[in-house]
Amino acid sequence: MPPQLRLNAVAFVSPQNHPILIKTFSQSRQDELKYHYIAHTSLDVIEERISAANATKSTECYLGLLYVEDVAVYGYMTPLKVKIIIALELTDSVIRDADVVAIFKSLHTAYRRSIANPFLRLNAPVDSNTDHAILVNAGHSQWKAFRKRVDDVGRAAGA
Amino acid sequence: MDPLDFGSLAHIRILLLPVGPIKRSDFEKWAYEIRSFENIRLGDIPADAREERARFMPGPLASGHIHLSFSYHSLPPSHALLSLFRPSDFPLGVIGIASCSESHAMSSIQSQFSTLVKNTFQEGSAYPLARNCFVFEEGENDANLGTHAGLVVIPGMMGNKKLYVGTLLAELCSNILAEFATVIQALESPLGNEYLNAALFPVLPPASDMPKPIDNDIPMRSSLPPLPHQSSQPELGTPVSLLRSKIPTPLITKRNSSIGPGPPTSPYRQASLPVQSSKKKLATIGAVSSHGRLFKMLGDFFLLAGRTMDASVWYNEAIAMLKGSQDNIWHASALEGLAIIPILDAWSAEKTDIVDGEKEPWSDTGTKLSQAIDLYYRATPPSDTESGYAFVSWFYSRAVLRYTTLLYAIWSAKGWGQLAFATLLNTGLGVFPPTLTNGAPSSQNAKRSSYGAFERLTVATGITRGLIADVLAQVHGPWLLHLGPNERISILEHTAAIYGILGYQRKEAYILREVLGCILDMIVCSRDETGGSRIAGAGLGIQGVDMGGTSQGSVGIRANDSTEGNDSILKLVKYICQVHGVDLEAIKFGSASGRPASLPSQGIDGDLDVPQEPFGWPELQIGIVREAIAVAEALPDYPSVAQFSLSALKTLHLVMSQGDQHHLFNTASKALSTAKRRGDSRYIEYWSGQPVVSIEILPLPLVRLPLEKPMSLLSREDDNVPPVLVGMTDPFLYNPRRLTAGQGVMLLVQKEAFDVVITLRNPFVFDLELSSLSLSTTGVAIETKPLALIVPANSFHPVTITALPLESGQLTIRGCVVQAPGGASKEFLLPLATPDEEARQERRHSTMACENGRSKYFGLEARPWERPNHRTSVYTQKADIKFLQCKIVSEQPLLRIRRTSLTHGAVMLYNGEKSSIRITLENVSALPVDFLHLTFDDSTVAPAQQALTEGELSVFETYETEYDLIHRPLFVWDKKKSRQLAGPGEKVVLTVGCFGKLDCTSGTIHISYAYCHRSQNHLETPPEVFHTRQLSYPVLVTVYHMLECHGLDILPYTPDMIRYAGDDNKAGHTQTSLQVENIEDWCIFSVEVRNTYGIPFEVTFEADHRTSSATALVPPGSTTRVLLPLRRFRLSEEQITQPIPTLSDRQFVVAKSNLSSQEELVQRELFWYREELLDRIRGSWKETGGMRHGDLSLRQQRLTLPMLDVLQSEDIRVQLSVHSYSGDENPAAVGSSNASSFFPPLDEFVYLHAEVVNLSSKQFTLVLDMSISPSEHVLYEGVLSGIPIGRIEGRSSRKYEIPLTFVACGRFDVTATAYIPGQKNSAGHGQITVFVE
Repeated sequence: MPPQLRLNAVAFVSPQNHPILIKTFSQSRQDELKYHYIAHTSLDVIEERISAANATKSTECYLGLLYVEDVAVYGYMTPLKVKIIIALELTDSVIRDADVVAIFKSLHTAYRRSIANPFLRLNAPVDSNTDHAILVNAGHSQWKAFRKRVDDVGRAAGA
Repeated sequence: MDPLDFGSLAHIRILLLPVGPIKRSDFEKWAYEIRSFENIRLGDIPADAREERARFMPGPLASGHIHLSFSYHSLPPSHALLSLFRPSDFPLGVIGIASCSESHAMSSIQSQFSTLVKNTFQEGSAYPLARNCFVFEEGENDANLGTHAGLVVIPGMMGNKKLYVGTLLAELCSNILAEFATVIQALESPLGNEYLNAALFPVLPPASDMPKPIDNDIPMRSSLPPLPHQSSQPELGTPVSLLRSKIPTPLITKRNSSIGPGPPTSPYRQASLPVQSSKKKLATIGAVSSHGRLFKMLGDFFLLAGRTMDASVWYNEAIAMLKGSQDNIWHASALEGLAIIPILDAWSAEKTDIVDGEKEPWSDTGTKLSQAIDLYYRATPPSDTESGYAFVSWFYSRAVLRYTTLLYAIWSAKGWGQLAFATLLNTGLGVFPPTLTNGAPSSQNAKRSSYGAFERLTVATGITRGLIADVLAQVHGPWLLHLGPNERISILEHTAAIYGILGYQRKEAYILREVLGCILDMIVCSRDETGGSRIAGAGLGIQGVDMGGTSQGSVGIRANDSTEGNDSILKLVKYICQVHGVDLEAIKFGSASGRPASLPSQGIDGDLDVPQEPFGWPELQIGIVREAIAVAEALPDYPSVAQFSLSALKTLHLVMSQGDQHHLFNTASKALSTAKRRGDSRYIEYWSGQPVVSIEILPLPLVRLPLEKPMSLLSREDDNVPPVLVGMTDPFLYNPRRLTAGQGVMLLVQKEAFDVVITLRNPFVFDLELSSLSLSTTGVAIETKPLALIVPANSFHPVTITALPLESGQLTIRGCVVQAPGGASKEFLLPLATPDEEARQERRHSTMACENGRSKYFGLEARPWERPNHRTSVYTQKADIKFLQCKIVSEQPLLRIRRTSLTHGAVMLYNGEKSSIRITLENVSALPVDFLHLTFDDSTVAPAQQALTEGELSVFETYETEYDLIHRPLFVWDKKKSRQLAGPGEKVVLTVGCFGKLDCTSGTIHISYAYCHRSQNHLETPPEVFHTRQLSYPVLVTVYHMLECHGLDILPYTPDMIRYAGDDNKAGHTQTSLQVENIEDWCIFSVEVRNTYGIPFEVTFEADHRTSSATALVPPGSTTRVLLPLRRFRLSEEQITQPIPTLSDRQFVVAKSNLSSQEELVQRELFWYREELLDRIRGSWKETGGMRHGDLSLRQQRLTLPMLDVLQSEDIRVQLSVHSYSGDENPAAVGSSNASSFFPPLDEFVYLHAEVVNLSSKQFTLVLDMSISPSEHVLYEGVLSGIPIGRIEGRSSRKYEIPLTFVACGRFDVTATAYIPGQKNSAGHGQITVFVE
């Protein structure tokens, strides 16, 4: 992992576009809302990319660089349509896609392992008959494991 | 054209100003006429003869166009610094539009126009270069208005005004082009060039500073290449050397004038500028005073003049020079200008260039623009003044937008073509290209293009949306903060518009939020300023009128809030929220006038609480909603505040924290009250979902409940159906209709209030206040009062509403009308939960549930309100909806029980005691009662009836139970005896007989009454039903068990008994009553009576209708046997073979007993004899020393076969006697003391006389057997056994005699038995005792 990569924020978004977890690695609280907006607005681009991918029957999860504002936003969609969005700090050096994909893969693994927790389902609200509620539960504040795993990934990625 | 548009660099801007008194509509009409000239061909421009002004004039036969754009506003003064850098931003020409009919007005128009122009443009400003005023003549009068300098009069009668206007415009352009030459002339001078290079954004030197060209033969023009296109390499030598040689002079002069970066508009303030700063600048300027900027300006002017060739030559020159000098901004600007030229050329060429294959035609332009963007980005204004940053940011943003617009235009026009050029040069972003609107008229709310349409464009052009968005993303950054609010808003607006067209709605919304922020900043800031001034200027009177300093401020005045534009801002807010998945218009406005007649009838399916899947990003949604509310509060638009808050509550309360919910609710209620106070006519419709969970009518109290009875019941008043068994008259064991009959419609009574219980639900965390809750009914009119209430947080809350039906008929309760405080009322229907309705709901729910969680539509198409549009498989079958119904019957009388003879409603009886209860009824209504009927119920009835229905009882037990029910009821009432009418206010006394029945603990008297013979209209068909009401009077019954009978026996009279009875003196009166004449005809009835109670009772049994009776005193705790002679009887054969009857009309149940026919016969015989016996014997008791009396029942007793034998009188009787014949032939009985004992003498001949009597009506053939014992002491003639008697007819007898003699003293028993031959049983029997002495 090249040391110059700096991860600012990670967002997990459910297939229904509900936020699962927005994790920022900066200190200030205002930034959190900013990354909420970044994740939300990047859904525009993700939708376009997904449509393009569907058109070409591509099965690639990695959606590439979504856009650059004051951070570089990358997207990734798991086969089950959970979207992972990361914001990298802008650098002058070239960022290789392979590095970004590696971050995404590890984040995906973290998510997968958390969702495998059978107790998540126990705690899902009874009246919701939808699956995504369970997914969203994974990012709920009372489930620390997922946050910890994401933190680990973030540390490794140089947050 | 907007300055942000792509082609703005090549447009000559012309300001249109209304002059003098002109109506708005007129101005707009003429302005529209003028605006229709978007470009003018170069060939149409009249050339100026003067040589020095002809520099920018088009050459003869030049092809190309001048592009015009028109505006109504000039730039803000702060932009004056840019006058040389970006001349295309400034209005280069001014056209005044006036309308006039009088000639004398012309001069005033002229003066007004010049003042207006002077006011509009700052003094000393380089622009406008040309001006003209068009006076449009009104009316048809042909008055000669004369000519005035600077005014052009367009006569009203002129036919083709447009052509004329075009000519005038061309003239104006010609003037402008001529003025370009003047400006350049000034700048070409060494001094001018120094000015040009003095600052980043230089200004034209004031005319006073310009040295007058002394000799006309050295025009500056000569220093420039006369024909630029002749050499690609500009001749740098001459001007540069010329400049350099003159550097010292302008520097000195410059110091005097000292043009600073500040606004040059006020020359008198220049002295205050710090001298040292200009020094610093001058030091830098000296080194770089190249002609690069001048060349760039030449390029700009040529571009404006439509001479693209010249422009590109000069731009290239400029770029070459500026590149070296690090003058990034000018360099970038030149690049921008250069970039536009190909587009202009292509547009003029009117044909599409064939692409040369490798490169897209726009790639060159694109490269230049991106270079320019880069240069702008890197440029740092030399001074750290705010305006410097502002301008750099402004140009940077514009360059980015220009590049974006280029890409967008080509993309949206499906490639390089006329459509793209038109978008770039003429229409701008204001108009949707036809490729994206599919021909439909475009508007903000028009349906966005589909993904497919976007992709088609991308494929056609090779430009992806992502690319456009990437370029556009550069515009957004912290540098926007440097911009003034106007610029910032316009930049952001454009950005948002492009994002929107690209389909990046979230991004669009994000940018729009910032737009909103800017607008609100401005609103709030300006409000603060004006607010302050208002207070200062407050006086008695109209604002703005100076009342003089003395009369200050006694009355505060408040200007009407200008609400112009609020709607647009709110629209923006709503759009942003919609993109985030919050429907701020989930609750609509209702108008005050329409209430409540045009109640929006809530469809049943409207918003049933289908669990709505939450959509969106809760964290953002809440923030967005808060912002939206803050915006609405700042405007202020209080109804919208309320609408937003409540909509948000309705849609988002699931994800909202409690604090937020409270906050929103409070905000909404405050806003509503404020809006109401300010007289806003809008009402918020009811918002909080379906609040009504259930509606029930409370059943009337039993006393008031009317019962429907058919009229036919009245006609058969004297039916004998025992009321107790009425329930069992049904011929079917299981009757399904009986179940449904009980659930008829609910009956209510006219003019008597009833209660409705409504259950309300509040899903929120705060107490929900409802200002009115009333019933929504159809059918007959009811009178009810709306209710105001507060539903506690998070709970179900039952409410009772009282209503009064005013007429009779059908009443349907559809639901409730609910009104929240300050809102409009709304009707909520609540269909009856019939199985149909439930199935329908279930289906709806399952459809919804099925779609929940399916991401068939993703992204913004999945927003809750979009979804129904996509749904194609809708359950459409419309079931007819049933509502709660009840029937209102006409007014009914009302009785009440005034008093009864019982204390505490309790009666104490001895078993079998007869007593009576008096009940006094009072009619408390205004209607008479003409029908009265009593029914009774007691605690023994139900178990007995149940036992009967179970059918487990034997026939005999069944009969006993039924007999008990029918003939021994607890209460009896003689209908005939009592009065059945009670007028209003009258009293009726009812006497009810009461019978002490063992095991009875309670009873009820039901008094049904009605007013059935009502007077009615002749034309009406008489009603088929009438209604009764019922009064129930429960009676607590205690029955004491005191006497019990047992040991019933029937004994035959024997001769011995008679004898011994005569000796027995202890029996007292019993003994006498037992005396009977003929013991053969009598038997003795005997029963033991035990007194288990504490006081003695006198018991009397009567037999055979008082022919004989026996009375005994039964002391407490003792048992007394009562004996009573009873005449024997015989029942006919037909009677005893009848089956045991059932007393009710009950369906015949096959007897479960499996008795043989013989046994059955015996049973029937026993039964009938027992019935007869119980009929003949009547027992009664009397309290000794008291008044109480009653019956003693023998029904517990059983009759056995031996008893039956005794009781039953025999068919054939054999009478024996002993006779002797002495002397005469008449026989005489010997020594008989009575009929059963004889005393014949020893050893004498006597005759044994046997008479066989047939007592029955049948005839018998009999044989007689006799026996005498001991037989060895008797001598007789003939045989004793098997004596044939022969046939005996009914009611006749036959005699038979045997002579015999007794040969020993002592006692002989003689018996005779008559029998039917072949049968074993004896038919008749006789016995005597003979004593021989």
